Amino acid sequence: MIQLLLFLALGLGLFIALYFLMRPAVSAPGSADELRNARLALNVLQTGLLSSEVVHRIFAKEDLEYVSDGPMEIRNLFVAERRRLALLWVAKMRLQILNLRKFHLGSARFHAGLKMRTEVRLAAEFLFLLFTCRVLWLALYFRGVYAAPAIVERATKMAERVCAVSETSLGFLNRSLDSLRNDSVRNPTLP
Amino acid sequence: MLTVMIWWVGVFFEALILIRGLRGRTLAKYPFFYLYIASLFVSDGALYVLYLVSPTSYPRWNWNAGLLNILLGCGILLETFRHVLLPYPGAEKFARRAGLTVFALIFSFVTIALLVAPDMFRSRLMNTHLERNLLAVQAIFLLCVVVVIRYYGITLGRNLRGMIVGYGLCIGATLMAFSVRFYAGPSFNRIWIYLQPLSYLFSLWIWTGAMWQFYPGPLPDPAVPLESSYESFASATKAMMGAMRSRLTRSVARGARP
Repeated sequence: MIQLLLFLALGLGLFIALYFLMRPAVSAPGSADELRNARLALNVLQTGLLSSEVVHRIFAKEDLEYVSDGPMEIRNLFVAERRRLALLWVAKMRLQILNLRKFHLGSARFHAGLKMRTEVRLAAEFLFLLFTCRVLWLALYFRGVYAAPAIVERATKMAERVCAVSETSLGFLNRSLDSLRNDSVRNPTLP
Repeated sequence: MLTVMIWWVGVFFEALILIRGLRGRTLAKYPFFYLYIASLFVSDGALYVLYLVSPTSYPRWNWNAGLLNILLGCGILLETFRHVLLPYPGAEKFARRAGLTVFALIFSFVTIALLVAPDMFRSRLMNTHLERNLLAVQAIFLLCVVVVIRYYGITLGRNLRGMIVGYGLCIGATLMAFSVRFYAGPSFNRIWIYLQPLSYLFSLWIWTGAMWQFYPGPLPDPAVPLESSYESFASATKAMMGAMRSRLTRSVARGARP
């Protein structure tokens, strides 16, 4: 019986994999334009949505204290709006992780020196990060931004660190772009 | 009568795929795939004659032909490696290593089983066991390749997508039907005689459409200059992920506290 279940599971797994293979693939970045786009996306996140000022503003307690003096309707509206903003922020964070994964896979597939163990570990870590983002999103969704002051504090600090991390990734992308620029100077036909 | 009809429709599709391969110049591009189809075509035609002339020797030859075709089916995996994964050395290495690891595990398992319980391999069902297990190995290998293709975002051309999907459906359905037949016994034969050939016909239909003419696959852009060393490249990704993970984990953990 166990054998039967194993073989049936294998067949079913193959069918599911084939179903995903038939769906149009989201191609990982590989061309120079896509490389630039990946850098641009990270740049926008770093200077815009993920800048420490913006994140601090989203979670700022002072704003809540300020509106708390007014009517309850305004306070409730404010809390709801802030929660929407915080959820958007987590969604953008998740997008950044997805961008990073997309860029990593798009580049790693060309490396002959790829290490299977490293790739498996990275795949697991990416999954864990995405899962954590989901948990954070749920926590903000159900508990709200101000219901859990600890999460706000940590989220703010995390956002600051993420910005620093983004800088590292930008530097990493910059190295690729620098060599691309050098090649363009040597060969003007390159993009 | 219906099974004979399915048989002839299958031979017709196999001939059609071979003719289109010759006319559409896809035969030279995918020789291993066409070798597999040619083997199916010859064995199906010859087995039909044998079925009419000497029905008693048919089962033995049918099994031999089945085994040969399962082995030649590996040609589709070879074509996938040659055409899809070769331009991506990293993904190719990953798929090859994953496939070989799985193969080594299965081989070790069978060797140990042979040493521990040799009687199991002397049963009259040995042939069925072998055929099913070979299919399972191919299914696992194909599953690894498909997962790698999808994970690394590699785009496939119409020819290769059809080749992989058709073969995957064929071995997946056969493997599942084989296992149920093995478990349920002769009572499943009534369904088996239609299910297996029909799933095979469906695969032939997919191959006919996909291999009608040569569709060049999308080429990767090799001009992108990337980090020269995989180590430094992977380390950069790992460093970024490690930092992100620790911040996220701590914030979630603290936030979850009352």
